Amino acid sequence: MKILSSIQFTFISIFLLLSTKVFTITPFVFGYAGKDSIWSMSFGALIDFVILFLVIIIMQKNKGITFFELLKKCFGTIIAKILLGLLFVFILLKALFLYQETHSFFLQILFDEFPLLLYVVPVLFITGYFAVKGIDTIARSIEIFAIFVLIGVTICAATAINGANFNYLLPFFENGIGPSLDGLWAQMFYRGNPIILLCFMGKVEFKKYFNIKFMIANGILLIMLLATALLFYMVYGPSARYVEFALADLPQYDPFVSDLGRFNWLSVVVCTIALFLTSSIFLYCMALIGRWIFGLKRSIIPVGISLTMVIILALMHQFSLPLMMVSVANEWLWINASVLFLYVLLCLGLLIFRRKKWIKH
Amino acid sequence: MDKALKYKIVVWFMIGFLLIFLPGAITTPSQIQTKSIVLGIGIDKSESEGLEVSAQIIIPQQSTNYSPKNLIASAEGNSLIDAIFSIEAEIGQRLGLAHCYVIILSDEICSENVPEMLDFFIRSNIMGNNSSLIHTNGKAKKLLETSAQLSASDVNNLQNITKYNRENNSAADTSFIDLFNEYLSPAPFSFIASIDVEEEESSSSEGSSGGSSSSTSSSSSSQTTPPSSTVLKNDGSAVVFKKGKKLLTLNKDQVIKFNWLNTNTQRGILTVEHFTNNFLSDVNITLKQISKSIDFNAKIVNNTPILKLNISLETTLDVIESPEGTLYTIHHNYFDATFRDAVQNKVRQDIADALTISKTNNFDIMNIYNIFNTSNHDEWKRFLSTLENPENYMERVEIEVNTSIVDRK
Repeated sequence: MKILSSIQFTFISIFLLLSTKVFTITPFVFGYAGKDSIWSMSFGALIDFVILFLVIIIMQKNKGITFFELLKKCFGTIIAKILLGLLFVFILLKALFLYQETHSFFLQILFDEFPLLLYVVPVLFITGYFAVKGIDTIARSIEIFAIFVLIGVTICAATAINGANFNYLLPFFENGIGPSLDGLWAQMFYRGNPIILLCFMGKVEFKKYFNIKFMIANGILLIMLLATALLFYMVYGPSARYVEFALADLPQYDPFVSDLGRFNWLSVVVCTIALFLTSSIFLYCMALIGRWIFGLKRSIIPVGISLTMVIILALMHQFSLPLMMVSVANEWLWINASVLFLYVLLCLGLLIFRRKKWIKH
Repeated sequence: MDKALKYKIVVWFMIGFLLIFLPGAITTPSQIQTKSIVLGIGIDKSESEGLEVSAQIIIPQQSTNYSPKNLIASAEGNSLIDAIFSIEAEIGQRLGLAHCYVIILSDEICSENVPEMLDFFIRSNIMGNNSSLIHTNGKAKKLLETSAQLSASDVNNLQNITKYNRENNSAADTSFIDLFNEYLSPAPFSFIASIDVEEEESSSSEGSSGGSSSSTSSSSSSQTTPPSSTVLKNDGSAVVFKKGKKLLTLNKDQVIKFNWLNTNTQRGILTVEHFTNNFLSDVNITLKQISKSIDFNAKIVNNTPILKLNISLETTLDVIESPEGTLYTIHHNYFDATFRDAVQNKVRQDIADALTISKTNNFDIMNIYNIFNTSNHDEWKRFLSTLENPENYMERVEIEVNTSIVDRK
């Protein structure tokens, strides 16, 4: 079994948290929570942090076995496969959205005309290739690029700091807690990515104090993402609802920065790397689950099937981000929130189960 | 072919990829042939009560020096998108607005709801968020044409002027996104710089044209060249918008008075007239303002909103003018307690004048509503509920000013 170093695993976790949180989530939440959006985002980040904590504890307490083996032990093969099937759907929708987000990002920032095939063929091939090559290839790539991506995100956000106006967020909770809770519910599609880390169970090298370091690293990232969201709301104010890609629009706000024209490219490079590698993680996890469910030895068939499903679902939405946003706001939100809720209960159950076992012994 | 290479999936993918896209790559025209780059948009009212939209378009051309051809294309329509489609049909290219740095609004257009009219731009995300908005008393198209005549190397081109206005000159720093933010806020007031076209009598500006300029319109394709002696006139005046419509025009002196409350404008000039102390007698002292910081303290006392301002200025001495022509040297100290009081009085007077203008015309360009609403939310709501017409809150506002000045010699 290929083993991920603790640093590689931490970076994978960081990429999973980062990639779905920098673009559409911030304006999307603003549509529900208005100027209380930052509170919704904070509550959402807290949920991610708690799930992350649950996942890492479960992984540590069950070293040496995979998630599938753990589920089989606890619930038997059939239920284990059903649970994995739900996780597959959870990841599939996120992957599909991420592919579409990347496509729309290219359309808006890079090219006015961007033939669909020219995007679909290389992107699906590259991410598919990464997924077939295995997690060590993805992890090594992430390890190389992670620092640059994090620095890039910070620079892109910081360029708009001159235009920040804290008054846009005040007064807090003017209309009570209701809008913040609406915003919290709306972002549930984007949350719960740490659940996906369960796929790496049994493959991670746990060093001394790893848990603490892992949680601190991810906590810092969540704070950084919150700071980016805060800056976005402070810069764009009530117009935040009209913006499509938060991180891509921040470097364009300040006219002097925009005149320089360098930072738009930085956001393009940063986001391309992050989105491609995260899509590869999603695809790898889908293939892994496919292999567990159908007992396959090689990844190429489940990767191919996953990619086909992505293409079919994308075609059903005409490869359009606005159409997918409608699905996100309606059925996908419910599907993801339900799977997330089920898995949080499952994680809690697994922890309690282990604890009882310890008491017995 | 090497056996190892033969089975490399990446190589086969690359070959397949190139073969699939080769026909398209060869036959598809370059984007520069199908899409034009728009630098500015001008919006006027058409004779049929619709909109006349003009676009300053640059057409890159091969040359040893970079001198793009400028084209002003205009068309009429019932709405913005209607007119833009007409321009596209006229020039045979789609308009690329990502580099549009300015939107010019004619005076007639400003009497309508501007944010509603520009709604297409913000929703479609086809335009950069930081495009500046400019008001002009004449035709927006004429301002655009004059601007197109001036190359980037000319001193008073529109791009330089808009940048300058944002940085130093006036409170008129409203960008496209700022207008929407103000419009959607509880106190929907904003400033927009006003720039006009002026005919110059001398022929000094004849050589200023950097690129050729031509004009087309939807009704005819005739080309007209504006008089070469037209220049842009940025006199520091600004237009106040209330709920997206023009309310009134402020002249340069009035704008400067409002600037005391604007945290964005750091630089400026401060003149204390008829100043006398132990060393100086009846002189006008002009200081250059290097930086400014403002602390707001908002309180509601006896149902009267009182805004306390602490304005800290950092200045350098620019000039001491004496009516008698006396030359004062560095030994003639001007910076004493009397001078500080004089500066304080000057700032207080300016702010009092600004407040009077605001109260008379019932507008809140100083963002007083937001200051009280964010710092004393509940009290402010209570105060508003006591008013017969809550929109007239400005009538009851009082401002107390305290200035501190640091002389950086």
